[in-house]
Amino acid sequence: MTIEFETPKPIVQTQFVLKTVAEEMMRAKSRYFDEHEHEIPWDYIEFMHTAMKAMGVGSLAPKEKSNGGEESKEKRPPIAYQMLATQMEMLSWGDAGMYLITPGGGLGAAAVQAAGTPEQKAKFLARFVEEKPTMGAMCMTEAGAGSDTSSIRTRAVLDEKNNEWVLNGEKIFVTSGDKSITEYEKLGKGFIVVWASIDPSAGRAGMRSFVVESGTPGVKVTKLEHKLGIRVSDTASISLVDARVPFDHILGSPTVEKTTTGFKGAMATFDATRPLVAAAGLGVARAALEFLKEKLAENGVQIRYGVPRQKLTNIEREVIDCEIMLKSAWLMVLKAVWMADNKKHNALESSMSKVKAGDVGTKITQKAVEILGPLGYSREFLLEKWFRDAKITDIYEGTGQINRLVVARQILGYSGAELR
Amino acid sequence: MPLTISDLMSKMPGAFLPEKAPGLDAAIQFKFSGAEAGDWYAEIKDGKCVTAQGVHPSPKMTLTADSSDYVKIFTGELDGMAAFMQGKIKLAGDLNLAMKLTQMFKIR
Amino acid sequence: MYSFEPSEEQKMLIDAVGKYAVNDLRPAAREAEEGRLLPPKLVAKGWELGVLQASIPEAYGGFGDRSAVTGALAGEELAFGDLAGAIAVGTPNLFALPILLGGTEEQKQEYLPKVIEGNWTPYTSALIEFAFDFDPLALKTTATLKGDGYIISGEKAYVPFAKEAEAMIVYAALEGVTQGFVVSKGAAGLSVSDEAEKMLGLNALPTYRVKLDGVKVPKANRIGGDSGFDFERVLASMRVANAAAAVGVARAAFDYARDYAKEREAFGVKIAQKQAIAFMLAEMRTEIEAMRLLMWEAAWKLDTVKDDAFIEAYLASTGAADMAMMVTDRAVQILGGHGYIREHPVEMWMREGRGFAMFTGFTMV
Repeated sequence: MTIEFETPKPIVQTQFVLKTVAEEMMRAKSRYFDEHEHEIPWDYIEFMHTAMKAMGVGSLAPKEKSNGGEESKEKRPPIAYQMLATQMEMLSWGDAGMYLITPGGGLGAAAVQAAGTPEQKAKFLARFVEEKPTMGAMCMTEAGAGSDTSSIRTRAVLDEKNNEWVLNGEKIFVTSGDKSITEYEKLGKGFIVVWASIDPSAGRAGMRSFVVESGTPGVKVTKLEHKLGIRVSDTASISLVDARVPFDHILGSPTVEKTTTGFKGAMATFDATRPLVAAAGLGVARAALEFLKEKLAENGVQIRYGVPRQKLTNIEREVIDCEIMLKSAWLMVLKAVWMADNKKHNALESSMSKVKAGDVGTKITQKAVEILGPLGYSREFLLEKWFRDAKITDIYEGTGQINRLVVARQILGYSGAELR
Repeated sequence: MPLTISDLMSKMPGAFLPEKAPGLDAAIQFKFSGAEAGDWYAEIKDGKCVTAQGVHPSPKMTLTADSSDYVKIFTGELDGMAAFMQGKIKLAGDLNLAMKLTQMFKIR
Repeated sequence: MYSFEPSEEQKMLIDAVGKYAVNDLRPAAREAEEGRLLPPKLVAKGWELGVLQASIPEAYGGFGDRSAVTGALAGEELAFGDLAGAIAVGTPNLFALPILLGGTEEQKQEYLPKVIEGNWTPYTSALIEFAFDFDPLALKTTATLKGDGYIISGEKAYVPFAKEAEAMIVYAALEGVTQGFVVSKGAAGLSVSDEAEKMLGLNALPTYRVKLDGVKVPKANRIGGDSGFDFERVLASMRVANAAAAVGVARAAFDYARDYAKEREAFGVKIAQKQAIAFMLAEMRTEIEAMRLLMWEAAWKLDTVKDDAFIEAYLASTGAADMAMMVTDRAVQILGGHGYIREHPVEMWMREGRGFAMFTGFTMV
């Protein structure tokens, strides 16, 4: 036990590699794909798939590589989540939208990883490291159910005769929904994980998740959203009309007792994913802050650290505030993922890191555009795109308000019923 | 005796495996530092590869490395991916092409 | 690697300091503030915790090794109890640590044992000047080499325990560069205001104006001798200490406001069950965490001598000062009318909360 902030070597290496990837394979095409919404960046997808396979990196859910022998495992501190956070930060620094279409299981695989039986994990996760790049996605949100996930209306009814689940409903805002469920020649067979109710009267207790593979009849993309930012990431509406999946596609235990275990299991995966999404948001913020400082320096504006507040120019003060925000937010992410790596319960730290990152991402990108005046507002630079990309951080994976609620419940010791 | 860069560059056309890069039309720029510092490029087109000294006007990718490190990568003595991760080689341009580079040439 | 947990030894220190802070400092705080007096016994007891002694090597009478991180951990705990008490217990640090960090071997041998052996003794330092745009790197107090010594002239403010101090380090600009000089009690030309200063907060802490009218000190009294010392290193330590204290006071305010909100009822529920209040508390807690981590990293960078340690210390101090104002202000707000009354401690913490923007120099790790 100690207090230490030395970046582990493997992470330093990763940062170096991903910087090249970010600059050469992402930023080089950022503007193109931002302006050609819904075109698919196949070069990037193929490259990442090949590279990740070559480096032995699987889907988004982190795995500890076995380093051969229990002894070596003990000596090396666990850094899988720290590594993942770094990767997400670096790639989002490149292009936040493109990062989201990095092939892999995404939140769909994360759900299988968190809630699936060993058989389900084997059946569903292997595809992400096979020959073709493959995508997974999570379907939770509906037109009438965003923050209030317990009011989803998608229904799953068991057809006992055929031993199949029949799903009906419409999901919206599914990240990578199109690439996960539509059949593309260049992609492997992906899947979506659909949250549905097996008993609406039971509320949360009746919620379960189901793996629905690409090619399942009755499942189709009905809309691709036009967005403020992260335009290269497809955000799909998916309708399920009498879509049938085998019985064992219900994640976790196949029993249908009324229990909130399933729901809580999903919420627990958010403890793991919240700091990671925060990390991605901070990558965009960092890009904006670096650009701001570069442009200021080009124009002869230096930031004098160490000077008393009364002597700082307004711009210096604002930039210093942005540095403070960015550094502290990143440390909060690091602590949260360090806790995950060391198997410490981190619901509070996880949500705090998301609150902070959502706030910081918004503030830094907005401040940078403001300070750079006419340059900040121009599409000649990527900054205005980062302003648009950053905003989603405070919205998805639990809005800043929901995460404040989660933090508040933790610090006050309140249940969901006590603090709504 | 270790390969020199000149040797390597003269061997590349003969070692090129066109079936590993079907339809590829691209120039690769090499920038070497160290013992055999200098610029070289390889042009791949119509299933053939030619190499030359100098700077290509429109390379699809650029590889920057110490000359002796690059020789080792080419002969397989040093793993390319590891070298990249350790910062021994710098890449710019189309990284897909960079990933395929060592597979496109048969050494020895 | 990254790691966010204090060592076992540090935990023991936090525990011991924490008990003193909660059981001794906190209960005495309001009376001390109103009466403008910290009971000497209280300060003596805090001294016995050995925080300064534990950061001075045995060769100079201490029993430990210096660590800014450990100092910051102790500093946060003390401030959590009471800021005036924390500063008082730590005032000798202001004299000892710059000498430890930048003094000559002779200076360390001469001064350190005096400061740390035995009871708490007032030794202090004079840094702040009474100007709105005071800049520790552009001091108005000057030192000029003359013959076999330095002549120091200028006016200092906010010097803790200056009246009783056995000696103090006076920071002055020597050819434009901030350097430190040991000035002993009763030196010719040195005058200390009779009355302690009256401030927005910290009224239990006696601070004084110090005037130096051509005070002459021998060359040997310049910290670091003829080649001087790196003041920025000392300044960075002061900034980290300031940030640590800010986190401690903010945490005190947060805890108090949270507990109050869980008890206080309005509209049929505890006010903590209302989103407006709950969100305020969530944000306060988040910002405290953010600034604590930044302060920890700055302290660690000082300990491991990183290139950007000084910049990070500056960022940590600046950020923590802003955070402390926000948190303490919200604590008053959450207590509503009761927050405004000098019976609950939050109004006091709010007065202290505003101070961190200029308190650099009151504490050092």
